[in-house]
Amino acid sequence: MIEVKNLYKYFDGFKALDDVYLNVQKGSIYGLVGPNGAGKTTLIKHLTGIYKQDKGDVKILGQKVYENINLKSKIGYIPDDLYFFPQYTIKNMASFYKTIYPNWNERRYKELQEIFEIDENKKINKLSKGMQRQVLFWLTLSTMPEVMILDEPIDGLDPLMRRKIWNLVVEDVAERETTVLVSSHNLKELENICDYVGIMYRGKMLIENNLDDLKSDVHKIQTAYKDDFPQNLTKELEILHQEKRGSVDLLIVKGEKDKVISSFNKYKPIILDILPLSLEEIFIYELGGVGYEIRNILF
Amino acid sequence: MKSETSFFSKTIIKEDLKRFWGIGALYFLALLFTGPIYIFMINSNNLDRVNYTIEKFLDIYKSGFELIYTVAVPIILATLIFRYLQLKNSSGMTHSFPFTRTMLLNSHIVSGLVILTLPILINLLIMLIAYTNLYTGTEIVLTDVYRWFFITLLLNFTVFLMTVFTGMISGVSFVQAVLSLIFLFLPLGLTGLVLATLDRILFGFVADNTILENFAMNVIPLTNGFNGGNTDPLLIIWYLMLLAILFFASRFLYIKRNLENATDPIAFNILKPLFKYGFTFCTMILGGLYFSEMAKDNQIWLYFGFFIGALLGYIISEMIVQKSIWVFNRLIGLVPFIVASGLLLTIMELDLTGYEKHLPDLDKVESAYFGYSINSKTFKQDSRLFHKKDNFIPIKELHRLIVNNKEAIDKRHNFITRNIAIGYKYSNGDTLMRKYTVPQSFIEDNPYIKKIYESEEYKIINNGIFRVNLSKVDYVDINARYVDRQVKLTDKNEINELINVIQKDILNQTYEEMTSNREGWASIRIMYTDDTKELHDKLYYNKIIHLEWDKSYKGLENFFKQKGYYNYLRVLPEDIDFAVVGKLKNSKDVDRIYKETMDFETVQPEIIEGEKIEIRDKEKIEKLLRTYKRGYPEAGKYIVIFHLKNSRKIIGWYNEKTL
Repeated sequence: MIEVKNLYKYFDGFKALDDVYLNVQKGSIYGLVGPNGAGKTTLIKHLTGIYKQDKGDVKILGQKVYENINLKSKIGYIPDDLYFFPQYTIKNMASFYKTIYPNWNERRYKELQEIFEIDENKKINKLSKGMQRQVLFWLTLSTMPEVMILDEPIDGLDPLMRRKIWNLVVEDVAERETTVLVSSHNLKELENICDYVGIMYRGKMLIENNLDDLKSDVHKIQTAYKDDFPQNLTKELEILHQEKRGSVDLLIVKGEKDKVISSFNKYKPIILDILPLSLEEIFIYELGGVGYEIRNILF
Repeated sequence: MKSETSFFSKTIIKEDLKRFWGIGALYFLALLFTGPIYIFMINSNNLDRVNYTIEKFLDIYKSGFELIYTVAVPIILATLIFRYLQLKNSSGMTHSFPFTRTMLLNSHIVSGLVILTLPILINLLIMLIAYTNLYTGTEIVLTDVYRWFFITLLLNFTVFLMTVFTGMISGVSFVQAVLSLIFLFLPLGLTGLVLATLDRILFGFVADNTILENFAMNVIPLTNGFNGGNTDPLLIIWYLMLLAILFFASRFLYIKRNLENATDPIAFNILKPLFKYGFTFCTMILGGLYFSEMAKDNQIWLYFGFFIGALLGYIISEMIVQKSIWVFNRLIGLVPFIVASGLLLTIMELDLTGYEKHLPDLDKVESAYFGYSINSKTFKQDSRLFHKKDNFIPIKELHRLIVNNKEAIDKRHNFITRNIAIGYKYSNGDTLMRKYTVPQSFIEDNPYIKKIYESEEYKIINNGIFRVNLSKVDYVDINARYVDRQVKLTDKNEINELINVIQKDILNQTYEEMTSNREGWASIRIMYTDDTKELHDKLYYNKIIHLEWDKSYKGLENFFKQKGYYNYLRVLPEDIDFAVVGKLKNSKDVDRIYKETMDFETVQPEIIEGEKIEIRDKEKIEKLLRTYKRGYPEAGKYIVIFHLKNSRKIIGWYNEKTL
């Protein structure tokens, strides 16, 4: 659906995107996570046809995005810094959107008005930042986009409005199989709604994965053996992390759950507990050294 | 429908018109208040005022306000319409909409042109109504109204597209507007500056104003106005091409432009050095000219000015490009520029190209020119050129003398100077032009100049009377100086005789007589009805030939005696009450002396040294009248003041020799 390959972008010699890849499945919600300056917005501006890549492919629905009117009219984009024509009311702006987006749905526009409860005759630039963001959601959802690209979309929204907007987005995905890419510097915020997560750091895509797969693939295990920890286990299993807490060993292990458990059981442990793993921990262990580096900024 | 959507977007045009119609409305009002509104305000009985207002409004190049609008309005409009490109948020949002860049550009340009055209169109309609119903003059015709419309549109479109173009180059609206203004005047300004600089560096260089008039001014329709608004069809084709070039260049740059470069003063990396060094070059020249002007042609100050100008220009342009005032660590980039321009200046200063020393091979010269000023047009007027080979020799010898005395001639400060212009036209059509400023002392007693002056050709070239077509002369006016006596000749035979006599007198004049600075007895004006082009050149006043009854014209003197005009047309000793002669204390402050002698009845004692002599003897007065000099009494040590009976005064000078 959204497909990025070998994407490079330089800003005056500075490598802003370095061999970035990205894959988003149709009808899924993809969380793009990374600290400030990681290249999230730059990547998104390539996905919306604003920036021209120095190298690589940017495709949505199998087509190149840059200068592609047809495709761009199917993309709904909420940028991090908003822009509306000066002096325009919501109604003016809506009639502008109506003429340039062929799938504009007037009924939806009216329905959303009920939800957002903003007077459509208000001048947009007079509204607060949070309100403006709601207006843009309102307009964008009314264009019935097939793909939604949201750059830090809930910044400046109150918790109630956040929930409302996430509900709308998730509903849209469920009903119309909309594909959503949403960026944030806060992983916890996205944990509950995303199917996939990609983590960017210093212009690179570090990891990209299905959240369910991740969760079922990595296990936190607390175990104790009568004798010393059986050294053979380190050969049999992919152990990401291991530490000793008194007589108890704490391990982070990657692999199929049943297989992992049976491996441990082979050596007759006194204790064997499988503990829940937070997304944060998964990434930190998964990313190894880099993970520790970014944990303070990302989580 | 398909093709329409790929080039334009109606939505963009509509939104632009909705957002920026106010500028068009203001432009309309401004134009209306500049001319048309007065036509209807003026009492229609006052036809002259109505006619004048219409004529003045339609002559756009002479109407300062209209010209200012054609620069200001399109620059402001284009800057505002393309403002979206110069801000990160608006450029991001706009380009995420389903438009291509070409669509955006085309549509914005169309709406800009519409906003500019409408006010002009409405004013055209008003002027057409005014012209057909109110105009009674003869100065303009209907096509002038349409011409106004066309030129106004052309100027507006050019400035608008220029600003669109600079908008693509720059990512800052202010820089965009300033660059546009600079580019509009760049061809004229830069050519002028370069010519002026070469004039300072190259001994003998002719700052040929034909280049300015025929080329530099015409490149941009706006500056063409300073040249009288030439509307040569070829030029119009160029202006239309210029619009196309600006459009396609803008389109090319827009497609190439990286949107992340919004807010960069220069949006293309490749253009940054070009901007920097171009800017530095201009300020270098400006600096050189400024300091050389201040220090009066001193070469050291000229080069100091070059250096200071380049340094400042480089720092400023680097500050603009880097958007920071901390650029002093980047000054290394100035070094190659200084080396290159230093090399160029050395080549010129040491005359390594041989430009200054170059003398023509007379075998190949077809015609030559000698005078005070020269440009490439000079060679197109055959009647101003020498064609006799014999006369080429003193011109070339004079040229050689000047070239060989460069050092002495260049140190001309504090001297009274004269211009000498020399030109040669080769048989193959090539020309060689030189102009020198030499001290007066160089000219006096110069054997070559004497030879040139006394040649028949020189006299014919420089006296319009040799080209008078008798059948076209209406009459001749002769006015005596200082006394109110004149004669009007209308008899063809008499005029013919007069002209022949004067021609002969001129041919007989010696160099000394030609340069004597003596005042003529009377002024002669030959009134002419000729429409040949030659009459428009500088030697003639439109359709009048001015002459002096020079005191050395013996033939004319006899002719007037014979006709009985002699005593009538000159100041006679009988007209003079008395004359006062005295030695000047100090002849330096001539202006003051002149003023004082005019203001007071008699000569003030403090300017006269020692005794002043009052002369009443008629014969002596006649002698004085025949010999006094006019003009700047550099060598004049004696003053004479004739007190006329009609209470006027003649002030003249002598030096020791003439006394």
